[in-house]
Amino acid sequence: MNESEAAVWMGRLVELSRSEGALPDPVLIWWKAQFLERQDAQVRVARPIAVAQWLSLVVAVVTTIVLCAVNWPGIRGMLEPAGFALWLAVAGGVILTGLALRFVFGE
Amino acid sequence: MDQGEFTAFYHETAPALRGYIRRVSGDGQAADDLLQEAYLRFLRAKPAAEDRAAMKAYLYKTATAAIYDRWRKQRCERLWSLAFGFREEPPPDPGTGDVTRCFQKLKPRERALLWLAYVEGYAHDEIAGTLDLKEKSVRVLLFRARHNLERILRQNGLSEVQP
Repeated sequence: MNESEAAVWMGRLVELSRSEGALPDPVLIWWKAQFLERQDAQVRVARPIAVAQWLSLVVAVVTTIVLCAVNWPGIRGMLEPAGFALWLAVAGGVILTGLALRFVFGE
Repeated sequence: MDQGEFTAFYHETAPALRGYIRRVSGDGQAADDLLQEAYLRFLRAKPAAEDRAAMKAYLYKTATAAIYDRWRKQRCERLWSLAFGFREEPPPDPGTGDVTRCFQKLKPRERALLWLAYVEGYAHDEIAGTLDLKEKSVRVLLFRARHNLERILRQNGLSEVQP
């Protein structure tokens, strides 16, 4: 098949494509693009705040771990007499704090 | 580009672009979604409205990328369906007419090449830019695409028909 024959066959295909219903409204596409652009701009503006939030969370968690590690003998001495129930309460508190932070930062 | 310029550009390019998307993707039902996706990507790239030909070439490039992205997504979904026994979606509508069915038997890249070359009248460098190919490869790939189209038409008893 040479180039002109190919062009004729493709022209036939184009003819078949002509009756394919109404095109989507360009006004809707235009406004959707504007909306997405505004959404992108909002995300760009909010990004430093989100980064700062995550950084503060990491700093808080690391600080808590370091403080617990440094004061571990004292914490252990305080918890040991209370027994299993207090350990359970502390573990529950840690998990709930984690969930609360996840909820806050998830927003 | 303002809204008026976009609307004029849309009316100028959308009918042919929908034909391109429909023929290359082989999915008539998704053609309008892909058309919108192509124009949205095009608008978000903030094209300068001076060079009409460059804008059109960029539009076809975004449309081709949207078609490929959809295929990738569908391939993932198909793998999930196979893995978890979900219901398979019906195969895409091949369109009406023998010529259309023959065209759908070509590889997607061959369909894109033939459309850009013989419907849009793109030069080899423009096709290379749109489909991310090397300019030197386009001639060879086009030759193969024509050869394959001829073979498929012949297999379907269409080569003897005067186009």
